[in-house]
Amino acid sequence: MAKDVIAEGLASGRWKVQDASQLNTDLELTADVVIVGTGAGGGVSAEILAKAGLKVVLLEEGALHFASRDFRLTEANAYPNLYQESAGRQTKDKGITILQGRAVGGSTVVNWTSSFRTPPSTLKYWQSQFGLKALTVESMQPWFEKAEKRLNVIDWNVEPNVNNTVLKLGADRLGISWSHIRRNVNGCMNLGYCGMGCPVNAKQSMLVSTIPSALDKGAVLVTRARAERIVMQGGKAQAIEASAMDGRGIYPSGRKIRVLAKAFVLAGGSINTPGLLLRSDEGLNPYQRVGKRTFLHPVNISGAFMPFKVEGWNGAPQSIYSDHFLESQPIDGPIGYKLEVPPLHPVLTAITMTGFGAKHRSVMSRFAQLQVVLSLLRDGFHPDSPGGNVELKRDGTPVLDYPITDFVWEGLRRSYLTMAELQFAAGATRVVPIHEDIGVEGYSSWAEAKRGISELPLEILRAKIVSAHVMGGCGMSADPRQGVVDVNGRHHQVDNLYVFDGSAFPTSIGANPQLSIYGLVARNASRLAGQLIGRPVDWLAA
Amino acid sequence: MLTRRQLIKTGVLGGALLGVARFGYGPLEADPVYAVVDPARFKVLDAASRSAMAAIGRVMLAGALPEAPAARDIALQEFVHGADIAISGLPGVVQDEVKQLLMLLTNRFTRRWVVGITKPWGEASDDDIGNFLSRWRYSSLVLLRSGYQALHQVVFAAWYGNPHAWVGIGYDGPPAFVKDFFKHG
Ligand SMILES: Cc1cc2nc3c(=O)[nH]c(=O)nc-3n(C[C@H](O)[C@H](O)[C@H](O)COP(=O)(O)OP(=O)(O)OC[C@H]3O[C@@H](n4cnc5c(N)ncnc54)[C@H](O)[C@@H]3O)c2cc1C
Ligand code: SF4
Repeated sequence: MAKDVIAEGLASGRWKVQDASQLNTDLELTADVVIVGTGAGGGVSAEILAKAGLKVVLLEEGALHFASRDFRLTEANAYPNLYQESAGRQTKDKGITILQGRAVGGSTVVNWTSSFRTPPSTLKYWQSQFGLKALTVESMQPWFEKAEKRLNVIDWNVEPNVNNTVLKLGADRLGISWSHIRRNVNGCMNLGYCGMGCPVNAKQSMLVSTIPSALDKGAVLVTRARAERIVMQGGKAQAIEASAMDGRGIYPSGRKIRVLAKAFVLAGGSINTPGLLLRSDEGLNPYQRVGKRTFLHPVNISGAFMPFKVEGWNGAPQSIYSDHFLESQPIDGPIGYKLEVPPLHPVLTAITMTGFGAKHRSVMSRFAQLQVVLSLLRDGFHPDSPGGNVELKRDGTPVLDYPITDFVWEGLRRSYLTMAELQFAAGATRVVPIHEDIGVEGYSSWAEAKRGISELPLEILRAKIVSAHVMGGCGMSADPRQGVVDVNGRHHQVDNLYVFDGSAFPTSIGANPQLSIYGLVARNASRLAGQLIGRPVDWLAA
Repeated sequence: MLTRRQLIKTGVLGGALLGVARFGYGPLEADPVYAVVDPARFKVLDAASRSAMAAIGRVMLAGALPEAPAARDIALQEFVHGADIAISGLPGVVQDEVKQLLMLLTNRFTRRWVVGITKPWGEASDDDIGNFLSRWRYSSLVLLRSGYQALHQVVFAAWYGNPHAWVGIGYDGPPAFVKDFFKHG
């Protein structure tokens, strides 16, 4: 049986972990730094700050799972336990379904391990449009290198699974560029269950890397604790108030947690971090920028039936991508898109394929032949792609209002066309863009698809649009009127408050975001740690 | 999924008409109970919602359900239970939205006039249910489309989340060595 770092750490008796759902009384803690959220941003922050000798308290709404033993590799277990809103989080008008993690380790526990540095064109846009002069390709390079080293981002030299191979083959036949995806794995067994938690500790998620190391260094972790608000005093953040959740993480149990700290790091991820700021004391949102410019890389989906077995549940979920439609046009022109494929598992596939009854079943009975391509649209680089806005529901939980503009729909139509052409080129017998107005059998030729897609009514809840990359909502900017935090992640108005997660991005990334978060947060958390202890820190020092 | 505001916005369906319904149809009464072995194991779905879910499931899962009547009944019951578990795992406010949708489906007046099903769910024909689903699926009202999508999601998640449902789709579940690994773990 594989070693389980979490089980061992807990058994060692050295870790300070409190499951708040078990609390019988309210809890008050003090810390040098309190971190809300333990995902990509919170995990890296925790390790760097704890290593610097600071007293760190981590608040996490999700539960702590054993690193491998708890991952049962079924969707029925994974979605309610590891995802926000049981993997069914939706935008306000229900037009887009959003996947985000909720567990110790955040979305990194369930992500698909694809690792890309922030594209140079994105950094350049941030410099020119948001005044983030310090974020150059050269200045960020060492941070990406450190993150890649720490989290074992490697070239994945294993034969891509068939699902990915079709993308490669189709791209070749259309004469567009493609490349291999690097992955943050160590000892990956090519199983294909990354989305349900890696069962063999191969994926270098925060759960098996930075969080255990922060706990080894004395950090305190409180799970099933939802940060509700930041309490201010004299223009500074003074405390965080949190609700203990019940054992299933659905309702607050009534117990309260209060953490007093010198510095406050918000890392609840996009949507949730802005939500926390919106619930907090006044003075945190003077220019009404909190929650604005939240981006999704909106994704549309194209299924194809291949004359051979695909078995999209087997093998590393993502190993091939194409940036042809990002690179062949200016970043601020018509919206560009990245091509990738998703892992295919029964629940996600069944709820994605349209229709019902015998027709739906006929698709499911050919599940093994199904191949799927995704287009991830690069939102946020054009005035007609302003992203969404986070609001609070009546119970104080956040919801994203993300209207899809005509500008974005135009890109979605182009990408439906691209995906269909590519899948036919790769030998598909039928191509089925996921849209209610297209029958489950889809199109039988590229000519038919081209005609059909050109006339498709593009509307929400007809076209299936999803996202697994939520970014922005507390954007960085040089000008306090343009964003929420500065280039170092520090809140423009509150000195001891920081946003160290994907919500600090002023646009989408134009690539899967995890490595962008690791790199930027490593930079900013190292800076904060250095300031707090009065000397520079080195993330990777022994 | 339906929000309260959206429900109110659809106007005609509002409280006033519910009043008329009460008047015209006598007291609002749920459809007969969908027979289940142990109602106590349900967290969210009441008897009327279970009847509705079973009827909708029967149609949406046509082709996936076993043919033999006894096996089919058991499968449907498992499905309704799965739907209950799936819904009960959602955050409170989202559960409330689902409950509103279920109310719309089960209330005799709205079932007839919004959903378009004239008979109690247990007696409605497959065609009637299929027509209702298609009307909502292609409705020009975003509200009804979102209602259809919510049902589609709950039904197929509840069904294909159950390992029994993998028979016949060529998927044999997580890698075998992991299953052993759990046995010893
Ligand atoms: C299915 C899936 C696949 C993905 N695949 C890839 C991929 O292959 N490559 C890639 O680069 N990216 C991928 N991503 C995206 C990537 O994982 C995320 O962008 C990244 O993890 C976001 O980091 P974060 O720190 O902003 O938030 P998260 O990692 O989401 O962490 C936020 C944490 O904060 C907690 N939290 C939120 N609010 C509160 C609160 N109020 N109180 C306490 N705790 C709170 C949450 O429960 C969560 O655990 C994927 C995402 C998903 C969901
Ligand atoms: S493919 Fe499998 S072994 Fe590899 S990282 Fe993903 S879940 Fe782990």
